[in-house]
Amino acid sequence: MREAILRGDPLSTSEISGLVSAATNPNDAIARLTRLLNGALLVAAVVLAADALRLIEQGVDHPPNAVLLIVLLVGAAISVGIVGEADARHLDAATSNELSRTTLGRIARLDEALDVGDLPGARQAIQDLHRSFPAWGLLAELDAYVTLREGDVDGALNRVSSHLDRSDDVYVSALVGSAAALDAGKFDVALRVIDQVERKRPLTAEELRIRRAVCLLAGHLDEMVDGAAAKANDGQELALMAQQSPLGSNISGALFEGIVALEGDATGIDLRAESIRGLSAPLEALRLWNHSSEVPRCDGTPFALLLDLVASRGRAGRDPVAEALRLATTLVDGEALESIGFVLLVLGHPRPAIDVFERSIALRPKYPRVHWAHAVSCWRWGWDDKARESAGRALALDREDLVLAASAPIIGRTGSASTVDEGEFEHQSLRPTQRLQLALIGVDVKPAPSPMTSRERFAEALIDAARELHGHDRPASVA
Amino acid sequence: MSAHIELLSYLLGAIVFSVGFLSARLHSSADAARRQVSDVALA
Repeated sequence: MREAILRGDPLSTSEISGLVSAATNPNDAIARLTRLLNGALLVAAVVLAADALRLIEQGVDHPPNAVLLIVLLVGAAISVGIVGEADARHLDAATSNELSRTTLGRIARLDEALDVGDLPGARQAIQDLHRSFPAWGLLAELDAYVTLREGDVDGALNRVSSHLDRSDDVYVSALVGSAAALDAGKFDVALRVIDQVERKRPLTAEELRIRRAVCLLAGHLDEMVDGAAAKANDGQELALMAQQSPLGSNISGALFEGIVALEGDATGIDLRAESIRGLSAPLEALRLWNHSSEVPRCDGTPFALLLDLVASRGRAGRDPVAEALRLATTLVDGEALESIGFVLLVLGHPRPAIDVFERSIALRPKYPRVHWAHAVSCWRWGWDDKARESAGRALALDREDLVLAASAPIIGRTGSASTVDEGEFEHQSLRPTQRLQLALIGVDVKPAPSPMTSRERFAEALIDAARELHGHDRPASVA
Repeated sequence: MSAHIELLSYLLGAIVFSVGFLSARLHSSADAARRQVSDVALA
């Protein structure tokens, strides 16, 4: 083991967690049982001696030295019992004192303190470990985690940010940072933290899932409508994650994995996303949205408002434009603004949508779909020149995109000449966002098979609303 | 009475044996933990 560490070879999770458990107080059931048995034997000896003395007092026949014998026997039993127990206690104290001075003992103490919620103890253990491992990034992250558990969200975020700024040794920054940011309702900060981690090392499958959950609650159109299909290479990334762990590639990485190992009955610091306050609800929302017909409740999030606006389409007493614009003014997230613009456009309000798309473009000028959406809004509003300009910018940014290419000849036209052949899209496997885009320019594509999940139903509701915009007033005729 | 004294002797024997067993077990497990931890010498 020592040689492995000196060579810098990675240690396996089980090796490290075995070492950490060796440094904790052993939970030896046989020793506990034997101590109980000793006590019972001692009590039995005392009771028996008392009974014998009582019989002697009552005048029962007994050898002349019986009293002395009884006193000696019971005295010996008590002495042996007391000495044995004292030795056991002394050994316990000496061992835990000795082990607690070793690094693994300190790790075990940290593990135990976090497990029982002793936050000052955990902080002390982190400081002790820091003296041995000043460059071990996990300690700074656990310090942030303890701060988060103390309820100081901003303090936790500051600790994570400063750690990410000065170190590449990153383990749970994405989890702790995003949990703190979500607690504070700062979706953009959560995404920024995860992106910072991604620039340092590949994200784990769990971190990818957290990013998707944050994108969903932040109201990003791709996540709300396309789900897992939003990033085509996610599957490859997940496969990659299954093959190799980006965290266990060095000693401190292996120590991290050993400490958080929670297989079977093994103890460890529970740093799974589901167990961190602030992350379990978004992950559950992501699961429900993509795999169930139940609509997740995420009150106060852009996701919830967008959902509500689409669901209450056309209902009396609602002013979707005012509500959407109120939300838009609070956001500095280009993708969330894009979603608001899309919802406004689909609900038949192209003019406010133009303003929202322009704010989104200011934040993400190189993203072609927002230019495209701006073009469609301008076109719907009758600003054909502006629409052509934006459509040209979108196409310049991405010449490969099927929908952008198909839209270019339509947007800005007022004539009736047909330029789009629906058959062109018949055999394409289109993502729901692409079907929504086509519906917005009046191209009917084959409907999706009956939607089952909340996400599919939301996507179809948007596409239906977009189709209705063109129901009687299709701007471009279709072959 | 002699039965009482005899039983008391057995009990003393059992206590001595059990305390000896416990002590040996605790000392050996403490030694093992120390050896395992110090073998890594991370500190």
